[in-house]
Amino acid sequence: MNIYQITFWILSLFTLAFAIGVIMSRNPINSVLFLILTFFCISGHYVLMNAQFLAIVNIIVYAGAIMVLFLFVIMLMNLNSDTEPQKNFLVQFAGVVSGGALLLIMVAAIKSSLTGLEGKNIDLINSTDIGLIKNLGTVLFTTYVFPFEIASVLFLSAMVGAVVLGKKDSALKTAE
Amino acid sequence: MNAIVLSGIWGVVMMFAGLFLKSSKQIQWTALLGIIALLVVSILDYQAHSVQAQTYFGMMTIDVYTSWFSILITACCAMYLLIFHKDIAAVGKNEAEYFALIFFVMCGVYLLASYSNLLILFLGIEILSIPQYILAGSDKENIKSNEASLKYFLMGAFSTGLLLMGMTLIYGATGSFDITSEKFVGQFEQLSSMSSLSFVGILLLLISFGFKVSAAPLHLWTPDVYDGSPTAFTPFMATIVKVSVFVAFIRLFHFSFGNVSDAWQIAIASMIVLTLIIGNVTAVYQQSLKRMMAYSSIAQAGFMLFSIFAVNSTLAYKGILLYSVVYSLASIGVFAVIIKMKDYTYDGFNGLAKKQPVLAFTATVCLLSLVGIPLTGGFFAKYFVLSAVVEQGKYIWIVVFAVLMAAISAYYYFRVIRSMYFKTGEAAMHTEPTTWDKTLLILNAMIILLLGVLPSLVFG
Amino acid sequence: MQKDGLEAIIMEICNPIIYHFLRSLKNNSQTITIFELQALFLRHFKKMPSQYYLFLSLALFCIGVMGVLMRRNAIIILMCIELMLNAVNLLLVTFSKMYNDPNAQLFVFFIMVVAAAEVSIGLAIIVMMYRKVHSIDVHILNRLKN
Repeated sequence: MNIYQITFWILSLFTLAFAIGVIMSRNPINSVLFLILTFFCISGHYVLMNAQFLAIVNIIVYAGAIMVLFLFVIMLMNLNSDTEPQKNFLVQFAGVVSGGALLLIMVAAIKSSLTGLEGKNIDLINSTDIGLIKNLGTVLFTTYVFPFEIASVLFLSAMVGAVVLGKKDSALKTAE
Repeated sequence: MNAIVLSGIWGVVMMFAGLFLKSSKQIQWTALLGIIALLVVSILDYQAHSVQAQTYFGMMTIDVYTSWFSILITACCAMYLLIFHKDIAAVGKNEAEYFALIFFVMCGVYLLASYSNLLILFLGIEILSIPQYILAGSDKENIKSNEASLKYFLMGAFSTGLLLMGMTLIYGATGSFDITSEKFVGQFEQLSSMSSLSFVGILLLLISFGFKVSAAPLHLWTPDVYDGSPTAFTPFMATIVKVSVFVAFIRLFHFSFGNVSDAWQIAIASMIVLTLIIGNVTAVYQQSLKRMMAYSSIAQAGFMLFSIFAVNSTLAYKGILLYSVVYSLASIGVFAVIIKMKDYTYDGFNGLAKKQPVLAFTATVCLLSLVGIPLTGGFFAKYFVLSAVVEQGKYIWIVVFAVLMAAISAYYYFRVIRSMYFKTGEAAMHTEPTTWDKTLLILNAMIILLLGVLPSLVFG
Repeated sequence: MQKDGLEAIIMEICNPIIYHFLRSLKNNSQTITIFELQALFLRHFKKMPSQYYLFLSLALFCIGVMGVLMRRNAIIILMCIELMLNAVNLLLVTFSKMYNDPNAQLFVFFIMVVAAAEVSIGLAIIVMMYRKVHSIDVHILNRLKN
């Protein structure tokens, strides 16, 4: 054990605990807050792996923008009390069992023959600086310039869609 | 490549058209102009790429096959827009945006036809899906449309998560996202050297693919979504989008995972059996024709799965090309008749042959093609995909099973024909078809009949 | 040399000090040689087996799947899907470090882009639904069937 491994174990523990908190808490607001904490822990993992750019983007985009959007919508709907009717116990149990079975199968399948990963370790300290903004930016605007442009079409359609769905038709009628 | 750019740009043009053009007619004409331009551009692309394939930083490989498929799918989309443009504009207030979203979907279709990198596959599937969630919910006053949209979105987002996990595990095994790179190809050279990571990855990709093409047992969203969406958009989702997802996954499973087909063929085989049983048997019990067509699209997906099942056979490629065109045109033809009716149940179609002989005739041709009767395009489509499996020599019993299921499918398709021709009723119309509509429908039926005689027309 | 528990932790944290201390005591030491210490140092201090991260993100992914299956609230289902995507992101960064390849980190970037677009659409749909039926319970979808 060393300080990096200790950090890894503590972060992993917190990540999993908060993730379980997301799916177990009855109040949606608590779920959102747990999810934000999970994202912070994942950002911690990114820092540990020397991917600083993604760590910051993860906090700014996910925890900062997306989760605030979630909070807004939950507040808008006034769901901050325990209004959600629970699924019956059997369905919840089935959900847990199938999720756990999926985990078990995937872990068993991968662990049985780790031909791809055996002996491959991640260099945590003396790692190269591929995760820094300069390198990522160079690759993004050379090799990945085509997907970058294509992503604009995706955003455009999402923007159009949000307006089409979100706009109130009745408000339009009165305006006309 | 030009088609991708033009489809993106024309989406923006449509948005501006909604802003500046006041009349709905002008907006529709702009959209039709756009799809014709797209068709011309994709033909020009085909001529440009017929000499040599073009690649973009290992992201796209546009060659003669992909651009030929682009032409075919654009032609199907042009047929769809020509027949349905008035109905699309009638769905809601934001008609220009609906057309814009359809052009964005076409952009995704071109990406899926010619990707050579898993990132583009992912982006293509997302560009394909996100506009569809909106189109499904575009009839905002109708609660069934809202339900369809939410259900489609939750299922689609979940399957995207599975897709990404699959891609990541495959990346973990290969170390590359580029499906043409040596590392990627080397990993899937033979089954014994394949890492267990890619094994799990392929299975996750398969599940996500099953979601997208509504193969059983992952089909549960399909009937509700296709039934709840506005009738103008259902044929688009059921034909053009579904077919292009098929082509995308055939590209991945045949070219990249073809050598390790023993790992996933059994999964596809069980999917085919379940899809054919559930799709066909449930369709028999439906009362609404729209819902019946939703189940029929599940059943047809079962037949299209055969083309993935038969690895590395030229018959399978020919089969999927012919099947995509014929199935798209036939479904569009049937939906074009459904949308004209007031009552979507079988009884609503009673006596249509007396009242609208042209509509009844074109619908009959399309339905016969869906069954796979000789002299219609559907016969050769089914023949090619099934004979590809026979040629492969494994799992012959599935072919026998599929033929039996095609016989069951004849029951519910012929039920519609019986309602139209042999029952008396008033067949109340929602909108009267114009001469232009009838001409297009006859043209559509003629193409299907022509492909029944000369199927080689679509092979390029 | 194997040491467990607190002793090992203290030793690892204060590694440089112990290192120098042991170096000065080199001749007296019977069990620890500098080379052994260096080997330990290299094995544990710099490297991290990638399986740990693989299993961590698989566990995170499955927690997300469980959430999707268990909950009835559409917003929480959407949040669980975000959790699944984040598990994928974590795994991609791990593989990126393993192969020393920036492509995977850019893939993460694109996943974030798509997730943002998807969430905006999803929330728009949920709000639209809520306006109509005043509920975001997914069970209502089954009740609406004909």
